[in-house]
Formats: sequence, structure tokens, C-alpha cells
Amino acid sequence: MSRSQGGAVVLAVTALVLWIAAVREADFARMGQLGLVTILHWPYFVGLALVVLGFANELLRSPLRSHWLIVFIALLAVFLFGTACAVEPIAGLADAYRHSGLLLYIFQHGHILTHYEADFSWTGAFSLGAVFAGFAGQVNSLGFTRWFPLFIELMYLAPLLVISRSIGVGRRAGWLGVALFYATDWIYQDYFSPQALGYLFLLVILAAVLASWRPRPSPKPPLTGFWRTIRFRYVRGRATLRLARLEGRDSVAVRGSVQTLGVLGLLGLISFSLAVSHVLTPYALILMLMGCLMTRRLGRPELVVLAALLVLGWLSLGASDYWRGHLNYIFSGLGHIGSTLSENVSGRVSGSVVHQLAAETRILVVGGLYVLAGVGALRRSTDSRTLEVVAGAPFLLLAISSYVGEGLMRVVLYALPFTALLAASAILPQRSGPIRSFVPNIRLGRYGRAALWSMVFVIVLGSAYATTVARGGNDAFEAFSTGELAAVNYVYKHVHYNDNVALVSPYLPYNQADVGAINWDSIETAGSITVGQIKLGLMDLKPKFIILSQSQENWGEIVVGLPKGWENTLFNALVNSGYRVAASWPTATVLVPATAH
Amino acid sequence: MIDVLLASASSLATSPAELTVLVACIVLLSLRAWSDVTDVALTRRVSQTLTYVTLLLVLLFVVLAVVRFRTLG
Repeated sequence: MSRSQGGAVVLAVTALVLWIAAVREADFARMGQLGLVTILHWPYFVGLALVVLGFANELLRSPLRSHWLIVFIALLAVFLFGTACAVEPIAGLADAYRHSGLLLYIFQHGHILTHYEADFSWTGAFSLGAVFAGFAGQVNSLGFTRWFPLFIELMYLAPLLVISRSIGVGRRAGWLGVALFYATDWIYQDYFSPQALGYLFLLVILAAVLASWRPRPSPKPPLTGFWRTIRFRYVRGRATLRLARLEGRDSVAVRGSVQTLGVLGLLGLISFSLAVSHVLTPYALILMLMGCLMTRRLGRPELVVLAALLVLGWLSLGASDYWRGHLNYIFSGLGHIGSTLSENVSGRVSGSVVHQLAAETRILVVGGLYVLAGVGALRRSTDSRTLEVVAGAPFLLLAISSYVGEGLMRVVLYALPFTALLAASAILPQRSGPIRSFVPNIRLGRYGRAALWSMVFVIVLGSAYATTVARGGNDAFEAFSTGELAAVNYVYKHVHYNDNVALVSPYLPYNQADVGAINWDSIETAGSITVGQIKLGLMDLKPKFIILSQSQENWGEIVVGLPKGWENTLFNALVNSGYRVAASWPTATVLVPATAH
Repeated sequence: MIDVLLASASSLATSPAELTVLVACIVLLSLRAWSDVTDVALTRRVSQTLTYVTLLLVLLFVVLAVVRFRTLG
């Protein structure tokens, strides 16, 4: 074993050992308001630093060793996406349980429940999940949920690597871009959900397109003259809307005709799977494919038209249960970009000081990445501006819908692989290509390699630490204890058809079974509310069961700003109003009317 | 068949007409991609006709979808 090989092994193994130590040391019950980061100790941070150290060493050595780069990127994913899975006793996010419930309904009944939820109108992912659950001999999908974030993030790696190699950045910038993708992906959309699967489909389609078509060589720019260069760029920019370009005649297929047809057929099938699986992702795909077509990286306009037809077809024919009678659900956000942005950004920086800190860290990570991406766009030379166009294309979605206040977050996620590659180009820009960089090359001199190493190390590690804070920042109320799951299971055991079950907020592992048979209601509010109002709200629901829990208490303190111990006050008020304890655990209590048997 | 699909305005709000046009669009798009990728020798006129008919059907599909949205939405 060579010295450098030995160094990489030592770094990787030490980092893994430190991660295991960090996970074993973390005590979920002691989690503070800032979430996951409050229970992580030095082994986590040192281990993460060793992973980034190993990655930076591998990135700047010659020749590159792909297998070691993959090892360090996979370790980075384990640290950032596997820690919560390992530390938290059960899967986090209430939506993961709700999706399991929808999947279970299909598994048990073989069809969907109509007039129930919007999600149920896009059934592809749930149906696929039901097939997998049956294939794996499971009675439900709950066994998949806990480690799903790490699993799906590692699944993203393959298409990400293809994208990074095909999109026109240098090899080192490609690897760095993939690492930056993971280091900045705080957007918690990788839980057990259709959007997580849809994102995989999106990446696979874009990776296949970028790997299957190359730009037809364009004329070389003039060597001298500022105005001549500007004029040349203008003329070339105008060409993006020429008919020949939109017919795909400016790109060249990399493969033979049979293979190209095969790829097109498969991409059509995946587009269909995506169209029936998620409400928003297919629109991002259409815009990004359009970007590929306009920048000479897609030779078949039929694929864009097909994707658009499938999306519109499913919305109109397959998802009519969702919009029938209230079309404004679809079109109410059209053109309201200002309100969408304010709902997506300023609406999220609220609650306690700690909650605001987590929200501000998220904005900082995204802002930093976009600044770097801007520098990357100016510094890099290339053969096509696909990267810039595809990174910007999903933002047009904001003109259509705010997507219940999450639109901007989703758009940033769709663009993230490409934004990360642009940001990597700020540090390691490609120097060759008919499209020249906007700014001259900066020479780093004698210490160039050391400077590059330092930049890679600081930026990736800083992003990874910030993402640890930002991603786990809501875990105090979005992650659950076994006691909370036991309380929900107690209710399932005793509840009858059409009974009301009341929660203060929807932060509980519920709805994973008997979808549509039980009325789960919460009185969650975005504004301020008092304990007295919460009590009245709960009583108004006339519930057969009320579940109070640690995660709901944390939500009240962190998001709404209720005083510490408010749930005790609520508990006493409910007991004084005719409710009694039916069962309790250290982190959850089930209340029933005193008259109930 | 056609009278079932298009006999009255309300039939436009049901799925058969829209679904039929959608399938026709997909078939024509596949045909266009196949003929272009495999360099099938089509005259310019046939090629253009294929493109225009495809576009026309896509447009018809969009119109039918809008009618369905307006009727049921």
C-alpha cells in the first residue's frame, strides 16, 4: 500500500469510527431548541473535518483517484444525512408517516381513496412503494422510513456524477460540485416522500440527456476587441431562439441511432413515472429540459413536448379529484412572484431566537452558494452555457405557484446540483472552450496549490457545518421519541371509525394507518396563540382522544413563542374541563373524556 | 365513436376525447423522433406535415384540457 493510499485509508476509517462514536454519544432525550447539533459532540465535528480533509487531498492530487473521492463523498453523506437517522429513535417528520399511511391504503385496498388529499391524486410513488413493500414481505412501509434520507441521498450520487462529467466543467470542479451539493443540501426533502423519489427521476433524466447529446461546435469568438466580443456574444445569444436550435439541430447525439431511441424511450417512461408521482417536480423538469434544448444539449424536442403533455394530461385526467370544484388551487399563485418570495423567505424567519438562527443559517448557506456560483459563471470558459441556464430555469416556477410557502426552497433544491457545479467553477474554473470566461484568469503563483486546497477545505467544511445546523434545526419538534409513537399506537388500538383525535400541532408520528377512517385534527396556527385559546380550540373539536407530547411542546416554545412548561398548564386545564389520562409515557400523554370507558 | 366523443359540449368535459388526442400526440411524437433519429428518408413535405399535424394535435389537447378545467373546475 502506497503512502498516499495509506493516508486516505487512515482518514476514512478514523472518520467512520468518530461518526460511530458521535452517534453512540448523542442523547436524543437531551436535544435542545437548535435541534440535532445540540446533542452532537466533538467526535462528529472532528470526524467531518477529517472527511473534508481527505476529500480536499484527493481532489488536488494527480492523478485523481475516483474511488477515493467517491468514498469521501459517501462519508460526507453519511455524516450529513445519516446522523439524524442513527441518533433519532424513529423516523422524523410527520409527513413520512402520512405518506406511509397513503401507501398502506393502496397496499391493502389496491386503489386510492378518492376525495381525501391532494397527494393522493399523484399516486405513482405510493403505488411503487406498495409494490416494494409487498415484494419485501413487509406489512407496511414504516421499516423503510428511518434510513430513507441517507439511502436516497446516496442514490442521487450516480446521476450527480454523470451530470458533473457531462455538463462542461473540469473533472476536479465536477467532483467539488458534487461535494458542495451534499455539503449545502439542508433542504429536508429526502424523507420518505414522492418528492424524494421524483428528485431522483429528475436527476436521472437530466444526467441521461447531458450524457447523450453534445453541442454542435459553434464559431470561435474574435481574439481581440471589446465591442467585437460583445457583438459576438449578442449574436450567439440570439441564436438560442432560432428554429433550428429549438428543433435540436444544434446538438449532436453521442450514441448510435438505436441507442438514442432506446434512451428516448426510457426517458419517456421515467417522465411518465415522474408526472404521476409528484405535483411540482415535472414542471421543473420541463423547464430544465427546455434549458438543455436552448443551449444545444438536447437533440430531441419531442422529449420536452412529451414531458409537458404527460404532466398536463395527468393533471387534467388523473388528478381531477384534486382540482374539481376548486380550480383556484392550481392557478391562484400565477404571476404573484412578490408575495411568493415574501411567503417563502421572511415568513420563515420567525419564532424564538434559536429558531430564527436556524432559518438565517439556511439563508446564509444558499446566499453564499449563489455568490460563489455567480463568480463561477464569470470565471469559467466552456462550450455551452447549459449549466447557467439549467441552474436558473427552475426559478420560473415561482411565477406559477408559491407551493404552500415552500416554492423557493424546492426551486433552490432543483437547481442545487447545477448551482453547486457553478460554485465549484469559482474555485476550479475550466480554462478552455469556445465560450470564453468573462474575467481574465487569476494566477495564484507559487502557493497556488496550497491556496486552492485551503479554499476547498474551508468552503466545503464551513458549508457542511452550517448544513448540520440548518438541516437539523427543526429536529426538536420534527423528530419523535418512541413514547410519542407508542401514544399514537395506543390511540389506533382504541379508536373507532370516524372518531376525532385532536393534536395541538401536526408534529407527531401519526396517520400511518387507517387513512380516511379517523379524523386527525390539529389547531396549528402561524400567529400567536395563548394556552387558553389552545384549550378552547381542542375542546371545540370534540375529540375522543387528545395527544399531548414533547415535540408539540417544543413546537409551541420554538415556533409560537409559548412559555416553557405551557403544555403542563394545558394539561391541567383539560383535566379540569372533563378529560382524564388514558395512558402516558415520559414524552407523551393520551387524554380521553372522563366519561369514556 | 366520434359522436360519443364530440356529440355535445359536455362530452368535451369527459376524458375520452382528451385521452384519445393525448395518445395520438404521443404516437406522432414517437414517429417523428424515430424517423429523424434513424434517418428514414422522408420527403420535406411529409416531414413538415408530420410536424404540423403533431403541433396541431398538441394544441387541440391543450384546448381540450382548458375546456375540461373550465367545465369541471
